[in-house]
Amino acid sequence: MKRVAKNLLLIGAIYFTYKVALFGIIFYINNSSYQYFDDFKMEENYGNDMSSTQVIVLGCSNSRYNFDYKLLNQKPNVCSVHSVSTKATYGLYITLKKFINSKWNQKENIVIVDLPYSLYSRDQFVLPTKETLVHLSADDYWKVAKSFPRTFFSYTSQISLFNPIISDYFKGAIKNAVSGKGSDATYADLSLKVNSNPSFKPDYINSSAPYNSKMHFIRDVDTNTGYLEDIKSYIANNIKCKVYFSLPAINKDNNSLSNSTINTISSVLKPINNFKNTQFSNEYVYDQWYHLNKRGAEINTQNLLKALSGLRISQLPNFETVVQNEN
Amino acid sequence: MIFNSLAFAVFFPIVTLFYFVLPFRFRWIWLLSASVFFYMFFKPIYILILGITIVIDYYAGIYIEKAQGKKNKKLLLACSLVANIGVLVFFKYFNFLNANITSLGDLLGFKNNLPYLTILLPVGLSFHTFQAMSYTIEVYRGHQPAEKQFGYYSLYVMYYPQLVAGPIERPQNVLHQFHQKHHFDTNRFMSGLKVMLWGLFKKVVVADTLAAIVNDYYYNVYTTHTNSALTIFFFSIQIYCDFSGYTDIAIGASRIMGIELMKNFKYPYFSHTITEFWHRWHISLSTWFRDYLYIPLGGNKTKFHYIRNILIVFLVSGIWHGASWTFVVWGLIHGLLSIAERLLGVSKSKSVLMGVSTFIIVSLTWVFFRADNFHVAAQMFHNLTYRYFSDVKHHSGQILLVLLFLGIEYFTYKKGKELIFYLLNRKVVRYAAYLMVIEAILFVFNQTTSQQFIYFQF
Repeated sequence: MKRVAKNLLLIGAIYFTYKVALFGIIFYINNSSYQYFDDFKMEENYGNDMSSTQVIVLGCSNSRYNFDYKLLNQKPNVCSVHSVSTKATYGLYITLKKFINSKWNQKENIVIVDLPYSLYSRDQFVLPTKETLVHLSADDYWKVAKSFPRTFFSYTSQISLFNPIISDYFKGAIKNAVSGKGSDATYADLSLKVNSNPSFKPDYINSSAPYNSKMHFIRDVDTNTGYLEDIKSYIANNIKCKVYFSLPAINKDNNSLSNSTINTISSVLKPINNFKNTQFSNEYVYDQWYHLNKRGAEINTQNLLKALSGLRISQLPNFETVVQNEN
Repeated sequence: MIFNSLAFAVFFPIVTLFYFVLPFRFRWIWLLSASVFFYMFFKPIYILILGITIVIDYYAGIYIEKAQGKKNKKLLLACSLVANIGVLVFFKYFNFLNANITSLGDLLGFKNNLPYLTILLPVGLSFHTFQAMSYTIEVYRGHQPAEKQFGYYSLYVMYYPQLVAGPIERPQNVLHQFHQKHHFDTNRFMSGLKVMLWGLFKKVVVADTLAAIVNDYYYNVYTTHTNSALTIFFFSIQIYCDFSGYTDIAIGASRIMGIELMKNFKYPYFSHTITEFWHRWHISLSTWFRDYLYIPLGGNKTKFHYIRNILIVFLVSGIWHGASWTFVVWGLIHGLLSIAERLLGVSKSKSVLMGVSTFIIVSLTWVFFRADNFHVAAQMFHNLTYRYFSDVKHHSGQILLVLLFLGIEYFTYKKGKELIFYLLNRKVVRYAAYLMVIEAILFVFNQTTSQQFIYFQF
C-alpha cells in the first residue's frame, strides 16, 4: 500500500510540477514584452456620446453584425447605442474583463449582454485560445478559479503541450524574443471594438443567397449551463452599469437545443428576449451560424427595440416613443 | 454512470477503498450495493427488471440442481431461458417486431393495431441477460454448482465493472472469485490501474476524438462531396477503441479488487481472416455463441451443419447487437465470409495481403453497423466513389493519432505483452509515458463532448 501511495504521489507531483511550469512560462511571457498577439484596430464610433445615457450592446462579432446601429441611434438625444465587442475567440471572461476595465463601465450606462455563441457551446466561457493565453494573467487565473470553479479545471486541462495553440504561442514568443521585437501595446490597448460598421463587406449588405450551413451544430450536450450563476454573480460584482441579458441570434437549422436547456438558461439569466425570436432561417444568416445579414439584422434590431421598450427602463423614458415612431 | 465521467472518478476509489477496508464477510454486500447504485444511476426503475430475472434464475439454478431426471431439469432450464429471452425480446425487439408486422400487414392487406412502446432500453440488457443464461445452462450441464447464497448470485449478475457492456462472464470463472478473500496487492493494483489508464486513453483520446468526425460525416452523408473512406476507417478504429477501452477499464477496475475477468479483445485488427477476427473480437460473446448455440446445434459435424449453424450464429449475433435489419445484414455478411473462407481453405491463412483485406472488409461491414438504415449505408458506399479527399488534410492530426495508436498496438501485440507500459524498461520513460497518457486524457476529455460507449445501446 505504501509503495502504491508513493508511486501515485510521485506521478501526481510530477504532473503538478509540469502544469505549474507550463503556466509559469506563459505568465512570464505575458508579463514580458514577448507576447504573441493579433493586431486589433478600433473602429469608427457610431453612436454619439452626447446623450447622457449610453446603451452598450456587449458581445463579440454577433453584436457587431446582428444589429442595425443606424436604426438604434435614430434618436440620439434619447440615448446612444454602441456595440462594444471583442473577438469571439476571447471567450466571455476576457470580454467581460475588458469591459469592466473600459470607460463604458459606468453607473449611468446600460449594458445589454448579447451573449456570444459561447453561451451554447461547451467551455467557451474561458477559452484556451491564444487570445486568452495572452490576456489571462496569473491574477486572472486565480479569479477564474475562485469565481468560476466549474470552468477552472476545464481551462487548466486545456493548457497542455498537446494543444496546438500552446505550440503556436511559444513559437510566436520565441520569434519575438529572437527578433528583439517587443510589444508596445499592453493588453488594455488590444481591447474593445466599438461600433464596427459591417458595411465594408458587400456580401453582408447584399447577401440574398441562402446560407450554406456548416457542419457545426449546437447541441444540448455541448451546452454547459453550470456556470450561468457564476457569470451573473461576477457581473453583479464588477459591472457598475445596469445589466440586461439578451439571447444571441442564431441559425435555427444549426441547433437542436431542447426546451429544458433553453428554459434553464432563460430562468437563470432572465433575458429580455425570448428564444423563438432569436431563431433565424438561412436567408437571414451571413457567414456564420451566429451572424445575421443585413435583413436579419434589421429584424433583430426591431426585436431588440421592442424588448427594450417593454422593459420601460427609467433611464430611457422616451424609448417607447422611439419604438412607436419607428413602427 | 459511464466510466469516463467525474461521477465514476469519485465512485471507483470509494468503492475500492471500502472493499479492502471492510471485513471479508461484508465485502459482497458492499460490492453488491455499489453495483446496484451504479446501475440505478442510469434509470432507477430498471433495477426491478434486473431483480425479477435474478430471482427467477437464482431459484431456477437451485431447482435445476435438485431436480430428478433430465426432463425436469430441461423444463426448469426452459423456464429460465424463456424468462430471460422474453425480457430481452420485450424491451429490445418489441418495436422492431411491431414495425415489421405493420410492413407485412401493408403488404398483405391487414392492419396492425399494436401500439409502440415508448420506454428506454434498460442499459446492458443484452449483456447481463446472456450472463444470467450462461449460469442456468452451466448448472443444467453440471459444470457449475448452483449458488445457494442469493447475494452472491445477485453479485454475479450485477457486478458493476462488467454489468452494462461485458465481458459476458461464465459462472465458472467469476462466481468462485467472489467467495475468495482478496488481499490488497500492490502489483495487482498497479497493473489494474495501468489497464484502466490505457482503456481510458483508447476511449477518451482515440474513440471520442474520432466519434465527432464520424458523427459529423454520417449526419451530412447526403450533402457531403467528400469521399467516405476516411470516415469508414475512423469508425473501425473508433468502435474498437470504444469497446475495448471500456472492457479494459472493467478488467482493470476488477483486477484491482482481485477479481480477474476474461479478456475480450486480442488485437482483432491484426487478424488475417474473418474467422480469426472472430476469435479476437468480443471474445466473450463469440465463445458464448459457440458454447450455447453453435455446438448444441451440431457444430461442424458435417458441411451442412457447419454452414447452417454458422449462418444461424451470425444472424443471431447480428440481431443481438441491435433491433434493426442493418445489424442482421452485418451478421449475415460475416457469416457468409466465414463460410467462404472455410470452403476456400483460407480460414487459417497468415498472409499480409489477407490481413489487409480482412481489415478492409471488416471496416466496410461496420458501415451497416453504424448506419441508421440501409439508405444511409448505401449512401456511404456511394460516397466511396467521390474524388474529393479534402478531409485527409483537415484531419491530419487525427490520422497521425490513429497511426500512432495502431503502431503502439502492433508493437505490443508482437512483443506479446498486455500493455505498452510493460515494454518501457526505464522508469523515467515509463513515468513520462504515464504522464503523457494522463495529460492526453484530461486534455481531450474537456475538449470533446463525452460520447457514450457504443455498446451501451446493446
